[in-house]
Amino acid sequence: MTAIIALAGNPNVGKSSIFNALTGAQQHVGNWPGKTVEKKEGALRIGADEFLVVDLPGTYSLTAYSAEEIIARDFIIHERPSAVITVVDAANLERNLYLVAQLLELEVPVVLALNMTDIARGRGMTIDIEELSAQLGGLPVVETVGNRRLGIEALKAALAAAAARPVAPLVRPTYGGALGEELAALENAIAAQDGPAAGFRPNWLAARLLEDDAAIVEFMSAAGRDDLIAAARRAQVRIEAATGEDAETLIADQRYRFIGAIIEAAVVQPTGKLTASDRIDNLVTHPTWGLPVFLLVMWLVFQFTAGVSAPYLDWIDGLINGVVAGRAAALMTAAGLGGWPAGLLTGGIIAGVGGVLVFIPVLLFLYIALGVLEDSGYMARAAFVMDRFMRRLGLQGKSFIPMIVGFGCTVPAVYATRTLDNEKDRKVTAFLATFMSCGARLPVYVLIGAAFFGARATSLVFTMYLLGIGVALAVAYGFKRVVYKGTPPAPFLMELPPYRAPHPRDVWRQAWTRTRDFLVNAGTIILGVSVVLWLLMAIPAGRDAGRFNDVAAEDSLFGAVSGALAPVFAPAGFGSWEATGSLVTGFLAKEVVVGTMNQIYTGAADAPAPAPDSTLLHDIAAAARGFAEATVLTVQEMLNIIPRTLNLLPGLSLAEFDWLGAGDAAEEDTTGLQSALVASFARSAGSPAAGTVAAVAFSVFVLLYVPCMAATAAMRHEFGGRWMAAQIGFTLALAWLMAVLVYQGGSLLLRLGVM
Amino acid sequence: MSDRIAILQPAMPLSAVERGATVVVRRINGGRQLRHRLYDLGLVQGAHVRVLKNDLPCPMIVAVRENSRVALGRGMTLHILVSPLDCSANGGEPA
Repeated sequence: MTAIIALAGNPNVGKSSIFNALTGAQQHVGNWPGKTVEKKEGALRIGADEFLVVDLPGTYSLTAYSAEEIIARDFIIHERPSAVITVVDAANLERNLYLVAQLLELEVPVVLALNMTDIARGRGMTIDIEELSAQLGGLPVVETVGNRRLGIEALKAALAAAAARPVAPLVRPTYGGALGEELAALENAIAAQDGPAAGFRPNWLAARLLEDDAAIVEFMSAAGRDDLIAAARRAQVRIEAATGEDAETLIADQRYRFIGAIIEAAVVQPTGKLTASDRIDNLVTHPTWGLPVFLLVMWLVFQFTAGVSAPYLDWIDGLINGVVAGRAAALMTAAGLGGWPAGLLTGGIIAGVGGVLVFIPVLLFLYIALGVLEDSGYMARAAFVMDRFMRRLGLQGKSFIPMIVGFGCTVPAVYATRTLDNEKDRKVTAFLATFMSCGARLPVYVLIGAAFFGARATSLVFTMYLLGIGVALAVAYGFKRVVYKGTPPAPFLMELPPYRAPHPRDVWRQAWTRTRDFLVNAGTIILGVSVVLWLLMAIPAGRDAGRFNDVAAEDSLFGAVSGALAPVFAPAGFGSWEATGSLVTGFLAKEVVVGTMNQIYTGAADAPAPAPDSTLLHDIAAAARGFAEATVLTVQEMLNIIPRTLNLLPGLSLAEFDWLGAGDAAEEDTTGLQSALVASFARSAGSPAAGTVAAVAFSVFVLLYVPCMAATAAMRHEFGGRWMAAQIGFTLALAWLMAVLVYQGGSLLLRLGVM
Repeated sequence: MSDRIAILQPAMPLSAVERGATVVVRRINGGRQLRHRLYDLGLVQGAHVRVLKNDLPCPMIVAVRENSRVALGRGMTLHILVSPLDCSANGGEPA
């Protein structure tokens, strides 16, 4: 059996660097059983021994106030890991030892990884490691610099030793005075009857009962020990009468005294100095300059995600729809499977799944940008700057973080609301995050933009992002005025971690893991949807409609159902079965919208064939050349952010780089789909101009309606079925209303000749 | 709840402390959850706190136990009662 090692620590202490350094590439992300908090696991081999390293959620303590804390605590108590590595920020040792003190109270073998010692030294701190270890009762203390992989071997050695001969910590905080007496009495009462209950130790249970720890009170009540709960309540009253403080305050106070004595003995540090971080904060959190800095950062993130990822996106798109689809069709025909199997493969699987693979670059670049924001420490400052604005909307600054994450994917955004303290803030924030244009909606705008606006496609994309933010703000205001009248937002309270240069390896690994997980999850759904969709489109709706795999799309089962729903969207200008059908599948995942359109509009009809004389070698060479060009263009776009940003200043107009000549924009791959789209929207709206308006209305609908199945499931998990149902109903109604408004308004302007 | 300590010591809300000054936390009022969050971040009675930023209407930024930087909303800073540290130990920032 592999032994389990748990990794615990405060947020922002470099825990993931240590986790990465220990487990290398062998890690995967899942969810905790029954919870939707990310769970990271990885394998670690030390000599002949194999360990499973479990990364516990980053927490400041182990109380029952948040899901993360309960998860971390329950894991240690019930899974009994062979050892717990606690990663500690050396530059912020005193506060970090608060969690360590609580781990000691749980009486598990602990190895302390004293991380970021380079920063501590830079600030003039001297930590006597031997003394620190001695003060902690001989606890193994290993100095590490996680992001530079320093001290990892020593940590492994300490870990192997601790796991081989587990020793419970020899010291832990002691509680004196009235608190100590009551604790001892309660501990005896607990121990006298059943002995340790379900792995909990009596002294630990006694302290939690005195603290009114919700989870433990519930546990005791379920175990039929209401007598102990009552005894604890009486003890609380006596403690407060004697000291003027409640038990929780006294426990926290005495833990910090325990820590204070350790710091006194082992650490020498200068006081009253301003760090480099403080100096940066003078500008970044400045009442006037904070906002422009924030806007600049957001602009850079947008440029990086949307602009810089475009060349690779085009490359993958061309590769899949051109070479891969063509080769696959040719192969199938050669193998004598030219009929429906070839149709299923090219029209179903490749068209559908290919539509998703195309935006790997977008997601990757987005997650890199988010990773840099998080790891550099700027994310917390963004929350700080936005606090006063969010407050006017009835929310607090921290709500802004899930909303930024929502630009990547709504699902992690919903989980990210866990950092908020109150239920109302969490619900509203998760609700608003669904209006942030996620990575899956981007390809829809890109496609529609390219088809209807050509070179000005990015204007449509940017407008949709702004509209999403605008709608979110309006809805937040509505919540404040109507649903949660008179409930003030939770107070703003947040640690500002010191600024750090993000380490490329850690940022890359996290971005890649998130992208890969997304692809695996979304890919499975999309593969299924593509096959089912192809089937529905191959089955004729009536006896006279045609034969299997030989039926006009609108006469298929899918066409018939979508056609029946289509009139609902007539007022918005896109009441065609094709548009309706792609919206229906888009409920499963928005990235499917483009895939479905691909299948409906071009799928079986004209599978692109490779040039007749092209050999496989030729294709591979072309693909490699395309990749090289895309790489050059990516670098160019990255550099172009500089002139593009400076050009925002009035009076400046710098030229952008154009290394490969403007003519290289390889747009031919989707022109078939694009012209089919233009024709279809013009048909359903009545004229080409009205079709363009309808296409904008369609984008608006895609932006606002139900995020996707995965996000809806996350909402249900976090906030229950009723909130999820309310969200589905509300977003559908809002999306329809806004789409109709855009189409009718736009048409009116057209008729008046304004546009 | 007793206000014994607050009465014995001259105390003022954290929000009234000027930038650069170091103070000692005397008492934290407010709900259990809020107090718990403050304890986790090192803000308990007796903790030394140095004010790094106090600009209306933004949240305050303080240095807690020297090395930790915490941002606090203005509402919360009214609930944290502090008293000045002895002048000798005051670690004000240079200019």
